[in-house]
Amino acid sequence: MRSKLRFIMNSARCFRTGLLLVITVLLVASMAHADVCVWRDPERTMQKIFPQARDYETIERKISGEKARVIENRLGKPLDPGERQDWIFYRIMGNKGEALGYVLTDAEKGEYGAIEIVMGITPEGKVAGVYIQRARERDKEFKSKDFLAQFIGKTKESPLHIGKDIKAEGSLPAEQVSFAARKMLIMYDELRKEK
Amino acid sequence: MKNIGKGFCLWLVALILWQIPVRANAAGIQLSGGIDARYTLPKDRFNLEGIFLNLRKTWSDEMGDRWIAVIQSDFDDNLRRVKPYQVYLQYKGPLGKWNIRGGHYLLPFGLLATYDTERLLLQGLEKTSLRIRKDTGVEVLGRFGMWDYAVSITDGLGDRKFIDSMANPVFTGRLAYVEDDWQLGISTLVGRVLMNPEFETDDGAVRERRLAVDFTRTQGPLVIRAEAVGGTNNGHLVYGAVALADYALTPEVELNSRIASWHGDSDSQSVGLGITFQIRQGLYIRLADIYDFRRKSKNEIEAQIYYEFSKMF
Repeated sequence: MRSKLRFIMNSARCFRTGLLLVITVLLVASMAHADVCVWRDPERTMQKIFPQARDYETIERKISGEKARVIENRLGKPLDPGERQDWIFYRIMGNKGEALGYVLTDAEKGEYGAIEIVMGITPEGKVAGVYIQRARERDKEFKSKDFLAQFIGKTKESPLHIGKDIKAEGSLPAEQVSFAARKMLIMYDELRKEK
Repeated sequence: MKNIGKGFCLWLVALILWQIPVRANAAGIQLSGGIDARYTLPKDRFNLEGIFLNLRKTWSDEMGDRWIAVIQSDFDDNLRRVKPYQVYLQYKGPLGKWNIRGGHYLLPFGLLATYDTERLLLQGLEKTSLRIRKDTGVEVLGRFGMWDYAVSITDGLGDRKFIDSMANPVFTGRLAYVEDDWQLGISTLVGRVLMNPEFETDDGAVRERRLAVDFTRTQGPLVIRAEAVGGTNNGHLVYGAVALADYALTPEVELNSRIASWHGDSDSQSVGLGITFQIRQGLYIRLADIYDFRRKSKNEIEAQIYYEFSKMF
């Protein structure tokens, strides 16, 4: 009797576990994985780019399929799966609540993991500053002030290519930072007026 | 089924709260979650360690993001246990100089303040050293210059809730100096903490005093984390330390290691080695061997499949 009861209980447990696993897998499978690069510790770092910053507001933009294709055409590369549906950026505000600019974040694949890049853009669409939020690369050039300072003042029209308007050794991390900067400028240009 | 019912109730309350129109300028909802399944040798046990869902929402006023709400519930141990993981509401002051958080949250102590190892095979020391990771109460946290601070007062019940206990408020605090690639923190915890049943004293609580120093350093592909902690349990000396090192070989493969030692009511010394494979975005396979010098079965090998996702609505 006891073994029968145990069998029934085990069967019920297996069924329950299996059912919830199936539901969870279906739920997860129905969602595109959002490859969101979060802005870590914004309070500490926003004044690196905008010294007058007092606070920030999170802004989300949905990306339609058509808009994603436009962005990809301009970028010359497909977006990552998680970037095709929405994009988050941050409005940086001064003492009176005026917009000083915007901060965007992006993660690109390096040689040892993701390189997380944070970029500030003025309301006029010029790069206000760039810094590397997180990276585990051996290469150090892409984190140097000299390299990152080259992006300041660039706009959506700038090629942002190593060897053209950006000087660097041409390592993978440096190329990925240049690509990320171009992607964020295009994203900002395409999505800032979307609702 | 009772536990699953509790979980659904938690989510129902969350959804109702989400509909309250606090302000028009509310950002969307971020839903994230994960599945953690493990196989352990020599126990020869497959366990659905946990499924978790996390809901996060931010509300802004004319000066920026102001309110943050987080609700996470975990369905653990083959879905036998349903528990809130972190459930809190946070008010953010200008420039993050101060924030007030109320609810159930991770304690600001040692490495736990910045590095949650709940879903990793090689974990921090807090389950041994504090025996409490999360608690219910109020926390003030923020930053000034290069310093981060956090002070918290909680009820000392941990994951146990609404029971008659003699646990008194637990005070926890941490001060850390933070640079881009490293940080150094000092923490304290004082109070009566309700123990897990196997550790309970006559009154069900232990008066803990703890002081800890934690350090985190990123050096290229290498990340080192360490914590040394000491103090008393009901006046008896306890002390220990843990060091964790992770080294990225490629974007998809990382080596993990851990060495830990604890002297107190229950002594333990262990060494762990592991490897993490990222199969694709959000999907990981981890393997680890933990050798515990004090355990009867010294080697424990664990394999984990872990999937996490995130979605904005």
